[in-house]
Amino acid sequence: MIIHGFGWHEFVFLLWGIPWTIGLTLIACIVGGAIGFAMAVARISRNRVLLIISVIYIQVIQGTPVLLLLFLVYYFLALYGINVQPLLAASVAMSLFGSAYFADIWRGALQSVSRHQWEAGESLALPPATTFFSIILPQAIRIAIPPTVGFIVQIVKNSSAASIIGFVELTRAGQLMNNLTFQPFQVFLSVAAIYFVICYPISWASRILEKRMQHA
Amino acid sequence: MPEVLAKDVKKSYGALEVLKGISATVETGEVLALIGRSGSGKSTFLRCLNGLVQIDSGSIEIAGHAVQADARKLRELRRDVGMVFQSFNLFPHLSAAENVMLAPRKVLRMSKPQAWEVADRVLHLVGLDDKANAMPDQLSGGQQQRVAIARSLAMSPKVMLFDEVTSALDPELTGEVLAVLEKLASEGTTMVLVTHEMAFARRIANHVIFMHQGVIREQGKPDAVLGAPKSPELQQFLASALK
Amino acid sequence: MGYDLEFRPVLARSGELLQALGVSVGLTVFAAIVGVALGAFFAAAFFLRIRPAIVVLNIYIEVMRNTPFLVQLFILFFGLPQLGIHPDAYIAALIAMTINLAGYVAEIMRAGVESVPATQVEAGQSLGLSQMQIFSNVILFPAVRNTYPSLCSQIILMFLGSSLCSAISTQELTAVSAQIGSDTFKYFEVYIVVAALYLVSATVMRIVLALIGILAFGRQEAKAFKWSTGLATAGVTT
Repeated sequence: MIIHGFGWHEFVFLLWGIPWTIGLTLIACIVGGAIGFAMAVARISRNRVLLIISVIYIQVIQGTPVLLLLFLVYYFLALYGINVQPLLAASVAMSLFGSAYFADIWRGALQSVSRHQWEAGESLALPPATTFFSIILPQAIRIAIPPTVGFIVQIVKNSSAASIIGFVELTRAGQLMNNLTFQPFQVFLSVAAIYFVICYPISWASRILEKRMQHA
Repeated sequence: MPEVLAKDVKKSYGALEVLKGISATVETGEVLALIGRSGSGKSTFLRCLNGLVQIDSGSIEIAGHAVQADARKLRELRRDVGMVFQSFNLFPHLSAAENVMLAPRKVLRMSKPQAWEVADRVLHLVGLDDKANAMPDQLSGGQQQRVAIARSLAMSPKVMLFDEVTSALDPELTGEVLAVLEKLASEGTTMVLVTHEMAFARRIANHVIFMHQGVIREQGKPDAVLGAPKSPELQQFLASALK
Repeated sequence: MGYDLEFRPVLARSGELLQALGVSVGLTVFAAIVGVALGAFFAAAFFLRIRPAIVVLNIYIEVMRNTPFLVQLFILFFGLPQLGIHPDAYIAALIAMTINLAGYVAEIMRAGVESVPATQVEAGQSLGLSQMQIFSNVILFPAVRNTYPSLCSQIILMFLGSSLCSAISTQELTAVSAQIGSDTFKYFEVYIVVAALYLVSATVMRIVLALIGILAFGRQEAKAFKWSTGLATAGVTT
């Protein structure tokens, strides 16, 4: 059994996990964002069916631990395919995860655009879709930016759970490095530090954006 | 020995000089009314009297204490000086009686039964005996303000300060609060009030000070100041105040 | 295997699942009680402006918010033995959950203290109360009451986050379900059942917390109780 010490080379190995963490985050944001947007619109629609579907969707996913979402997607896909790629399962699961929270945040933003704006659009005889896209949405986007940016941090952190289904991102790189060096304290502290370096600027940006919003 | 003695009090916020040398005296048992526009410095001056605002220069002696920046000395001073605010500031999670009993129990170390007696007495004084167990959100504005007055009175202060205590009330509720103030004045309480109620000030004050842009523009007996204003600023102020 | 889902092998072991659920709930309750209790001290530090404590708290909050809970678990469970301390899986989970939750509680308490208007503090000062007395009698209760929804959201999130403790072999719900999965090969079925258990438990927890809120804070809390979680803005998961 070869036991390495934990030195610079070992640390660099960890860095290779970063692009995978970021990649997974991006997929979750883009795919999850698309689904989330649809769900947010459904959530504020007057159509009873759409409303109920979106409420159930959001509540169920928000009420499920991320790890369980990963397992469910993994084993669901396994019922059909034979060998499930962790990347695929992780992407689907994290997208679902993100979509529910994006939906909730964006629903909140859409609802906080005052009713008066809708009435203004109606009294100008604008069709509802135009009112939505030209009047409501631009305002909602401004309101939604700080919490959305803040939530991206949550996606980055929760992506660490994908390590448990074998996806090699930063945390998994740490586990592999730990098996090699048997220096878990240094390894995982380094992993934590790398996450911190990734997340802190995003958190900070979210706070700055929030302050800017309050002065507007 | 005057109960309140302020000498040449000055206060600036950055480049803005809010108090430009205010001097005032209030003898025991007297009522001083401070009137003036918003921004004239009258509320700031009042808050200097119990140390909520630190003065830059000058001196203040009140109820036998010198106003200093020391936290412990300020706490002792505030046992003898009560303050009632425009926005009542009742503690929302405590009932009226609990609001009143808080300071006697924590600061004067009274036992619960003792504090309850005090609360009983002062709530009766302001006419709210039956509301002892009510929560602030169950009381009208006028009632809340009277509880706030009772809360300050529970400490048996030597001087009472009132900062526009009726300004936040609907007109029909100011009467009940002014009645309490009048009662206190008639019982010989030393009071300093910042107020917009000119007729009331004329009735109960022994001395009126009109402040304008940080200085005392006119002062004197109520009939003189409010009935026959000499300075143009005061004349303008009274004209607009009476509209 | 195909499309026929068989739940019976899983439901046959529902006793074990419920027991494991009890472990998850127990971990959460402990973390919640200790975390919120610590919160009172954090709030005092913020209100009384105890400089060194605030610096430490700010660092603590940022570290908890910007590192994954899973990694925190690994540091505690795998890392400590390197330093000579050998916590068992249950203790490590307890400590990790408490430390993590307390970090969020600290941030929430800072907001809570700031939410009490300065005029309340002035009123207290004018009555001759000391800063400490103002904190205990005027600040603390309203601060907790104002931030109670956020605190509840965070506790529920921690409950869901407890599932990650399975990665350090704590015998909570997710770990046991994985074992049942590997025994019966009905992985998908067991995870469906367990997801439902988490969902129902989280809902029950929310109701219980809401009732506690009504008991402690009065009827106003009933109006503040929302069915939608709004978790996203509360600072989501771990």
